[in-house]
Amino acid sequence: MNWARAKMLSVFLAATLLSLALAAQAPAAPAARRGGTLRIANIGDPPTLDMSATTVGVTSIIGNAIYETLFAFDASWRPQPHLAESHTVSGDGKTYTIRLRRAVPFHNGKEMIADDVVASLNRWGKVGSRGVTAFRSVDSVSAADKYTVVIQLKEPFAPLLAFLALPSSAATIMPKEVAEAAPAGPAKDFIGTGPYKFSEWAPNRLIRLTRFIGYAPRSEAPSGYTGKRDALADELVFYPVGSVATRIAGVQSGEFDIADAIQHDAYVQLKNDPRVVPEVAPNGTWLVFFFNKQSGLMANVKLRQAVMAALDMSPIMQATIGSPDLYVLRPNLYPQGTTWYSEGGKQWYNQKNPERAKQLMTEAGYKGETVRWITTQQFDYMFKSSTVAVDQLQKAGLKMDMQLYEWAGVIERRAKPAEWEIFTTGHGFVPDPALIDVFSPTYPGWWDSPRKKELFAEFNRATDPEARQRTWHRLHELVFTEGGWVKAGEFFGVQLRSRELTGYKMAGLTSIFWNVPAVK
Amino acid sequence: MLSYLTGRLLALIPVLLVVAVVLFLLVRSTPGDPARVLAGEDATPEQIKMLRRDMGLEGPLPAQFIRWLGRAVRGDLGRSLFNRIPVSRIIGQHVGPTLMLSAMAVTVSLSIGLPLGIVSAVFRNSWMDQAGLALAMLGAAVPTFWLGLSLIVVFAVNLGWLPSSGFRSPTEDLRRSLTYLVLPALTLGVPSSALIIRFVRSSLLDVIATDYVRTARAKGLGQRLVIFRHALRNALVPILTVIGLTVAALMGGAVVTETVFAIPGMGQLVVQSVLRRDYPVIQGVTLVVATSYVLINLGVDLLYFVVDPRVKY
Repeated sequence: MNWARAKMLSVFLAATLLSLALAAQAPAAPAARRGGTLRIANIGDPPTLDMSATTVGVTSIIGNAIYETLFAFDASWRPQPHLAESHTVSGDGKTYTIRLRRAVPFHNGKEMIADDVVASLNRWGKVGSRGVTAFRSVDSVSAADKYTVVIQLKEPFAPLLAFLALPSSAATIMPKEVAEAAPAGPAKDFIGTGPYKFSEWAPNRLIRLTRFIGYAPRSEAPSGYTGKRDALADELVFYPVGSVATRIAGVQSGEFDIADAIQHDAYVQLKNDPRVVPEVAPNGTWLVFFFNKQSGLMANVKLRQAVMAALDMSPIMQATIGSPDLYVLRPNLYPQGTTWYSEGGKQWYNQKNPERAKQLMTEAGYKGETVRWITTQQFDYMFKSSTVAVDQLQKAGLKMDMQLYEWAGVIERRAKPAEWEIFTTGHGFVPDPALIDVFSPTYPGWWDSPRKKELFAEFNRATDPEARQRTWHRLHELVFTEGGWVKAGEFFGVQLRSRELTGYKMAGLTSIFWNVPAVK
Repeated sequence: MLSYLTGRLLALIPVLLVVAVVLFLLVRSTPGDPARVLAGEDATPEQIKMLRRDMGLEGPLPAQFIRWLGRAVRGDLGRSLFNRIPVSRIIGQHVGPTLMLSAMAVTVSLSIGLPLGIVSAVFRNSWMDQAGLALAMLGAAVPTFWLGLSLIVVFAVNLGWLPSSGFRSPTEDLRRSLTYLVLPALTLGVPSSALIIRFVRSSLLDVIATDYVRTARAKGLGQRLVIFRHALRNALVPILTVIGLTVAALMGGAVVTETVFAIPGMGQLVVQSVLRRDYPVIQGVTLVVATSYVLINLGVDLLYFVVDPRVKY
């Protein structure tokens, strides 16, 4: 050993020993801070806290801390057991046997058992729109023993676990007597198994949830919506604040920790504000124009294709969202690198070809009839995008009539096939394509062509993941060729948090307030 | 006097009946369905039907109206279609913030409007009069939402002196509760003080021009005595009318101000319920507001009697 090498070795040894000694002395990672209150400013009061009976976003934001489901999505959007311990699927894909975790208490102190799960799921099959869809394939739900539930299907339904895991119109588990007391509408008592329990609702003023002392957490590390849920803050208080400027000012002045639904044009300014951090949603919302495929002008597929040919998405998204950080133009429903990424039908997207549109209109036998486009000013993005799109179509030669209603009016009108041709909406991210509204034959637009029916049934029946993926590509293409809807682009929601609230990240489906230490 | 009072109170009945019928028809014939709002985006037609039955919205409209009226006359205004809380309790929860806000806003507008109006009238055509009138014009022209948001930005966000929005109950902490109302009270009070400046000025000018004021001056009474004891008192009747109307309008809820400051008052309640088509709440709130409107007007009429002995009922 020469001197230089010996010296190097000794230095290395000394460094190793020093670092070991330092490591031994260093305190263990500090335990997450407990206590305090998380103050969240929402866009308004929810219609109910029962997130099984509605898809309204504000209900999910609050309800997600109160209620839990048998399965939940992990960070890679795979459904993992949550209230369930494990599950098995029979060879024919028609029998799901779900074993439940033991000693999981409800907020009323009662232990969750199979009877509660059976009552909750059966109710969800009637009152939750997702439940109604899933239950078209369900034959029965029964309790095999105190901690085992069996779901018997009429035919294989591959997305079942995704349906059970979704936190919107969610398959929440509540006590049997609470579920049975509300067979047709929202639950009257808000009792779940979640880390927070319902404590107070002063209408239009606040909703208060408090830590559930008896909560039974899972032991796995948190991932997405799965794993250990720890109610670090003592309380969650949700304030309904209708004015977005006031929500922003509230976070800036320290009145709130988090504000939901920040308008896109405020983003750039807020990014440079040292007091706050704008959080951008990890998943985009699809900005879509639905066609009425059941009756009227747009029942003609050629005319739907004409609309697709005419639209130029860039000015639509630019006018609607503004900041290029907050939207993308892409035909794919799921981004590259994910399971459901597909390029099927991409040549139909963003054609900006009014000449081709005119040709398709001639082929469709269009004679200048009025196209009624219904939308609302209540949601800025719907109004702005519709205004630009209607103008483009008008220039391409369609006679457009843009009709404005309150959102409640749009919802009612779009349910009547005789009243409209196109309406605008936003479609939130869903982890499984089976959950996309355009495929639902009962959703306004009523897409129910033989080809779609056949492919969608195949997609839902296939239990082999690769077979599902192959069918998905064809289904993805069909959305374009048959004109199920037009996707204009994808935009990302923004929430605002105070800079001090470092433990909070915007989640993909609905907000997560557990494992978040409060500032004060 | 007593028969006058009884007559006025009895007149409330037809007023409320007309309000109830017109409102019921208006609300029910507006497009929009509470069941759809509640169930959300993807609800199926069967779900909506089931939910409508659950909400008690089935059956012909006249039958529904009579059922509602039958309960209302016994003081039962029904329950919210959404959170199932009795309408009377919801109104009770929202009336408090609105009353507090109205009281503070009226105080603000009177403490600005009265002195400026008097100064404008007494020093007619002077620079003070011009300044008062300019201020009044400005106050009337400024949009409420802009004034509210500007006050939030200056006093809550930048200076940090006052809370930006929300409401705290006075029973929990009176002082804190009042701090939450300062900015909204200014937002409401400043524009309505403009109206009061104009009314005080013109009404006082009319009185100052009368013979008895000239006589008072000729007797050698001082300016202060002439204005405050003789002129102002006689100018009060139209001023009271304006104040009464302002208070009555505030009772219906200052919709914009309550929205900007997230105050859970009557204005917010009305807007929320209308957007959701929460029929029982809309009907209940309107009845209460109509009643208070009539009662406030009656109160103002009685005050005329107090300030002006010539008024006889």
